[in-house]
Amino acid sequence: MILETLRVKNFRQYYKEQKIAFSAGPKNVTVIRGSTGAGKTNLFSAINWCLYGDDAGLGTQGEIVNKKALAEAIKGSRVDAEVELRFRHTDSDGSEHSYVAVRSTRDDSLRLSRVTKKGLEELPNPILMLNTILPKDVRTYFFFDGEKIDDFAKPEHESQIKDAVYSVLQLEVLERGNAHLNSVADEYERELKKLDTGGVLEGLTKEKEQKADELKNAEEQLGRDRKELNSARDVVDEMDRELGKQRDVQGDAKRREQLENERSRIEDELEALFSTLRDLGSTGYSVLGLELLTKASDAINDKRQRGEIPAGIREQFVRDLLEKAKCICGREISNDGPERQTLLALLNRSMPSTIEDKILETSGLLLALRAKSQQRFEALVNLKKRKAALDDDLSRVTKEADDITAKLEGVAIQQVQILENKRRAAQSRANELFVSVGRSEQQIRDLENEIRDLNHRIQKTEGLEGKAQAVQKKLSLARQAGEAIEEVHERFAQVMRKRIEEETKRIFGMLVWKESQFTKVELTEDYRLVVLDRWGSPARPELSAGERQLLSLSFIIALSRVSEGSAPVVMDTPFGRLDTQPRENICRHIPELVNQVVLLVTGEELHGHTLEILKPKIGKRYFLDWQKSTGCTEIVSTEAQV
Amino acid sequence: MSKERRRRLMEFFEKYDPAVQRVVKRVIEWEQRYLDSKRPRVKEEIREVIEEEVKRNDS
Repeated sequence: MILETLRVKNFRQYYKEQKIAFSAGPKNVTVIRGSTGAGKTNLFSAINWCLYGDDAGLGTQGEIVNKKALAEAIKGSRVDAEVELRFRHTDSDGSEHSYVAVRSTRDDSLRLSRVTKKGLEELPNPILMLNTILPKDVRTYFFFDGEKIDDFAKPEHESQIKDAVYSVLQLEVLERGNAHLNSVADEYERELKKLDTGGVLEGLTKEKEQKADELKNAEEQLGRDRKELNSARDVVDEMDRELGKQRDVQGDAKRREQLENERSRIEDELEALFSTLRDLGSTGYSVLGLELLTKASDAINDKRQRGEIPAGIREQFVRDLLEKAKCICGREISNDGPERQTLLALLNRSMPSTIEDKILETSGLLLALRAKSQQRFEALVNLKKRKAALDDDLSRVTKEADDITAKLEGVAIQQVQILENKRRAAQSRANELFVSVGRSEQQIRDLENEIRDLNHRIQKTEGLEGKAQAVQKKLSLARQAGEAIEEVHERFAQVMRKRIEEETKRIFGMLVWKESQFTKVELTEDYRLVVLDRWGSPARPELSAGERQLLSLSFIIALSRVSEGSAPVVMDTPFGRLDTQPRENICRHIPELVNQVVLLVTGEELHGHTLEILKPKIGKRYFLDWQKSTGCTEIVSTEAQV
Repeated sequence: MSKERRRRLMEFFEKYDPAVQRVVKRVIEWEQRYLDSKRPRVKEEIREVIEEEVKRNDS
């Protein structure tokens, strides 16, 4: 950050608009001279107030506005104080831009604009931008009251030194980053717990594999049973054919064959009937809900008849009729006719079209459900009747066939008996196999259903575990990034502390006049600023107020250099407590150590040889001329005198 | 934070996985922007940074 200009208008004792241009480059010092009370501190405050508002500690708005301007204002009109600070800053991407910061007592908010080729481009969030240029907590180490900075050098001010290091190096950014990453990681951990399936997927997959094996076995068993059943039936058929050739039992054998065919047909029909019943069973809820559906449909019809809900005529349809003034039957609807009155009455009863749509939709749905349920109910009744008829037929056919079998077994013809025995054995086996096939078919159906259900559950669990995997990745990355910041924070702080220590020692050596007396400066791990004397003993308690000021200044300049923040150093009354030698040392070295220096001084602070030392570095020089007659200060450029 | 200081800081993260480095860099940028806030609402932004990085690694 390099300051370019400061414009104040009706700010404290600065009446109307006044301007200061700051010097930068090889002559990087701006000197603003003024007697005590001339307005040095208020000019210093103007910079702080412009950028940081209330935090500059200026009090109420009434105290900010120039009193002369207020007194001169026409009654009822408003007078505001305004400060504009122009500066250059190198952004994090390395590009340099000019900025204009403006604050007025009118709204007391910072307006920050970037200077572009097209003009000023106001930034939407000035505070966020300012945080990347010179954060509020950091500026106190660059804009400071020279007489009050010896705090760093006083004993037991470790926390202030640590705060300064943390603020200027912005170590807080790392601390906060770590805390927020850990907090985000904790959130991911909670999400993960909710998604935990506890190894359910593995269990389901195993169960599915087991069921698939069972299904395969059942299908193989069914294939074998069917084959054997067909063979047994072939034997029965063959025996029937052979018996049909035996003249004495020919009639009975043929009749029994017919009956067996009949029985087979009845059993097939019963099987098909059971299948239909099963299908109907899966939608049985609608049959069970028939009574409720009827009640709901009746309730809507009842309300419609009573006019509590609209009739089945759509609002838009009525509007169309009214607009066309013609019924769909072709009859004219005159303006004063009863048809128009009826239509208007209908329209008045209508509800908003969305509700009307919903009611019509629900009525239609209920009617359709009711019709379907009725159909299913009737189908069930018919199937039940048919089953009863088939059961009767099966009993009759079976009994007649069994009677014939018993009769044939009693025939005293050897050949017939042999054939009949073979037939009975084959039939018995066929019956057993028929039961077994039925059982296997049912088992296969059950297994297929179970596998379908397992597939569904596996799919759902896979979805959850997929989500869990994704959250696990995020959790891991958040934890790793948090740990990395924590490790680096510690190392970075250590390295920077050592560099600040070295710089402070070097600068203090330049500024202090008894450099041979103070041989070492240390910034300890617990952030104590220690000065050792030539005998290696801590010398800080013995430091004079001026020496403490120099030590603090050295520390601040060291911070600035290590931070590479390139902020200007603005010092208000920096030399008040210092002797000639350290003043001269400061004037000799500070312009070389920082990018830009603004000194707000009294005439006594900077004169004679000290001023001569600084002169080659002074680019701009101003005098604050406080006028007794007005109580206001005029900023006068004294460049020509330099 | 100046470009130079950010570069120096990021050098400390060089031994870490590139994905971790990218996340850290963006988290620092967010934290820097909200440095002034006592209760910075950066967690949503951090979640977004992490989710983008995970997606980037998956693709």
